[in-house]
This record gives sequence, structure tokens and C-alpha cells, in this order.
Amino acid sequence: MTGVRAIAAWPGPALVAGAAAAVAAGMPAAPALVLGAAVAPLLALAQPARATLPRHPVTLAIFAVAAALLLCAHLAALADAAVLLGARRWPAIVLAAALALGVTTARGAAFWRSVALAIGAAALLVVLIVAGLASGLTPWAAWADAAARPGIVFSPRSAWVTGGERFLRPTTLAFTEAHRIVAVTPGTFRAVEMDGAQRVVRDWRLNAGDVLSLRPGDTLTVEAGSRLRFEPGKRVPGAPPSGSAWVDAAPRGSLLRTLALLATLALGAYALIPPPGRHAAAAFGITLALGVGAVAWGVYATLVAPEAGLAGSPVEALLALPRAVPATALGLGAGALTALVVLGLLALFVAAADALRTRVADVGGPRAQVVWALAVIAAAVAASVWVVDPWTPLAAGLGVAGAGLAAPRLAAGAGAGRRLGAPVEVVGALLGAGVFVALSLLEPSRGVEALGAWPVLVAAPIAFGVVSALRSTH
Amino acid sequence: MVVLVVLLAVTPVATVLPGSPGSVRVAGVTLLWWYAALIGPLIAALTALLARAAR
Repeated sequence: MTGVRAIAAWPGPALVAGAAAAVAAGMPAAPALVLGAAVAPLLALAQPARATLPRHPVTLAIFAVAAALLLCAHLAALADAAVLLGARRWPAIVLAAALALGVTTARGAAFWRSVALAIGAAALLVVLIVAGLASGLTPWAAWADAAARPGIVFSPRSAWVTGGERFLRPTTLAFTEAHRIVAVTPGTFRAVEMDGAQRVVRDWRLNAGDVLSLRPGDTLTVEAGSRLRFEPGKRVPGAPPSGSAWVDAAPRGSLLRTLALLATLALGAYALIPPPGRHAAAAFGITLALGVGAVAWGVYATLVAPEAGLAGSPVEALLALPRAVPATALGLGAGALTALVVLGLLALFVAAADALRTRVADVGGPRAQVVWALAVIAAAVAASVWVVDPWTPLAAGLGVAGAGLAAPRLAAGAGAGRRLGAPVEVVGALLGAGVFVALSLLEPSRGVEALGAWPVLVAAPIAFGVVSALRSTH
Repeated sequence: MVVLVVLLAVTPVATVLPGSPGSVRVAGVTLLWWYAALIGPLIAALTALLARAAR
């Protein structure tokens, strides 16, 4: 397998959008996410050819669950893009899932995987280059400009100011200065106001055009689907207050959360990406471009559209950039650039789907085709009924693959033998995936919060330790 | 593989180092971001390439 085909499972729409949005929003985990997205796949790619996982119903089931979660994440990202562009959610998911199923089960799917990855990368790269040329700034100059902003405020040209935008998910906005918002569509909003030292909760039923005044310290809970208009020049609720705060968030990230994020990415990549047989250099180039591209995209996006992310989806950061580019840039207008972004995301999704299908086939044998079809259908149904941030199923998919497949494989090495009537890796896989699922379902208040949020930190060492112990008694 | 793991570990270590060296700016950008976006991935790619070439 070539390097390009091997890495195709990695740069899917959910990861690309998540990395760019994390940079744009100035999230504390953003540097670790970008570094992990670029370096984690190299851990798998640099490995010498290793034995594949044993063909067993347990490994097949775990891989199918991981694949379904990853597909669900990518479909959720594509659905968010569709809704942000005014289309409906479920038809977008059905069309994307049908396309993935059609391409991945067609003859010559591996060739089309490479083509789709090339189209996806090229489309996003063109938009990024056009945005950079239009701004007249190199990415590092744009970064310095973004860091020098005295306040992160709504631009007068922002769609949130001119016509109002739609919230994709329920959200609570915290206001640090007085702000008059306008309801574009009728809806109910919950405002929590500070009256002296007392909190006062008020539910407002607003009609289209009604104005709600909020004071510093107030919060406003908005339902999914609500459309609001904001005042130009006012601070973006939830965003860092200034450019220096946007910069300073990164070095203050939580150590445990950063470790958990990196472990999830590294183990997930190890489980998903097979060692390439030839042309590995191309795959190394793709990982490098992913890291640099995500940072550049996020920096340009926060500079021209600091409110990107207010709707509740990381995809907004990807779509905000082409919308804000002047129409004359290289003759490509906002419409053409937006179409390129959508084409790029769809192509990356098809490439990732086919790479996952190949991995399912590696562990599934003759049942793989049916299991793959079921995984795609399950992902489409989940993405339709579960309106969730794409990062949630992405982290869950990488985590379950890391704890249930990568950790036991790393511990087993070659010739680990059998225990309890099954290959040692299968025992570890069952344990790792079981612990991961159990911790994921735990209430966060029952343990350390970060472990509940990132169960791979517990599940992977348990799976690794048990397989090592079983192997030593062989 | 060890080199790649060490390269990944630099970011969490940078968050606990006294004096916050990751916040030092070079050409307007902090060291942490130069490392996460460019230097770390570049060294990692070159390391992986050399490791494959050596086999």
C-alpha cells in the first residue's frame, strides 16, 4: 500500500475542521491538537511492517464501532456545513453516506481513495492560498496581527451583524459588556441577570425583530435553530477578550487534558493507519501540510471572522474564511471558494471512508462487506438523530480504537499466543474497549473529571498491562 | 518511535515549565506555536523519513 492510501483515514473533515477551529478560537489545547494531528500518524507510518490484528469477531466488532464513530464525526461535520449554508441536515447526511458507500464498494476503490485525498487537499489549499493573498499577510504576520487585537469584536461586515446567523446547537453566551441583540426568528431565550448579588432568571419569548438588552455579567441561553443579530464593534460572547488573551490561553492548558488528547490521537492513529509499503514520503508531506494548514487557516479565520464558532460548530471556522475573502481575489468569489471548501471536505470524507473500509476488511474477512455497510448506515442514522459537535464522536472513535486495538497490539508484539481460548490481543481488546466504554458512560462527578472526559488514559494502560502480563506467562 | 513520542511530549511539558518559555516570541509568534505548527512536525517528518531510509 502506498503512503497516500495508508494515511487517507486520518485527515477527515472532523479532524481538519476541529484543528482549524481550535486555533481560531484560541483554545488552550490548540497547539497540542495541531502537533498531535501532524505527528501522531507518523508513529504508525514510521513503523516497520507489523502483524495485523487477529481475525476475530471481537476485533471486528471493535473496529466496526470505531469506524462507525469516526464516520459519524465526519458526517456530522458535513451536515453542519450543509446547515450553515442553508440546506437541511438529514438529506446532506444521506447523500454523503450514499456516496461513501457507493465509492468504497465500487471496483478500483483504492485508486479513487488517492484521487479523493488529492482533490480534498488541493481544494482546501487553493482556498487557503487565495485567502492569504487577499489578506496580503503571511500566516506568521497574520498571527502577530491577531495577537495584537485590543478586543475580539464583531466586524460590521459579519453575517452575525448584517442579517443574523443560526445557532446549530444549544449554547449559553456570557456577556462581558452591554449588548443589544435582535431576534431574527421567533424563539424563547433564558437570560440570567445579576441584580446586585442575586441571580435573576428570566425567560423571554421574542418575536422576529424584538430587541433584548443584556448587561455585563449576564448570560443568555439560546436553543438550537434560533437566529440572532449582534451589534457591530461589541465583544464576541465566549471569545477571549483580546488578542493577547487569545495567545496566552495556549501555554496555560491543563497537563492531564493535553496528555489525554495526545494519547488519544497517537493510539488512534496507530490503530487506524497501516504501515505503508512504498512512497511513504508523500504521506509525511500530507501530515506536515495538515499541521501548517490548520494553523494558517485558523489564524486567517480569527483575523477576518473572530465570531466564527459562535454557531457551535467547528466547521464555521472553515466556512468563515471563504465568506470573508474579497470577491476580487484571483477572480474567485465567496461562492466559488465556499464550493471548494465543501468539495474538499466531501473528498476528504470519501478518502477517509475508503481507508476505514480497507481496515475493516483486514480484520473482517468474508464478513467485512456486510459489517462495513452496517457501520456506514449506523453512522448516518447516529449523525442524523444525534446533533453533536463532530469532535465528540471523533474522540470516542479514536479512543476506542486506541484502547481496544492499538494498546493490545503494541503489548502483544509477535507470537503472543492464546489465553482463555482466544488470541492474547483479543483478550486485551475486549478489556480495553470495555473499560473505555464504561468510563465514557460514567458521570463526570464520580471521578476525576478529565479521566471521565478522556477514558483512554485509563483504558489503554489496562489493556496494555493485561496483554503484557498474559504474554509473559506464555 | 521514541523520538516521535518525545516530540509529542514537548507540548504538555511546556505547560508546566516555570517562566513559561513557550510564550517567548520569535518574529511575532510564540515559541510554542512555532514548535506545534512547524518545527515539531518538520523534525518528526524528517525523523520518520530517515528511520524508513535506514531500514
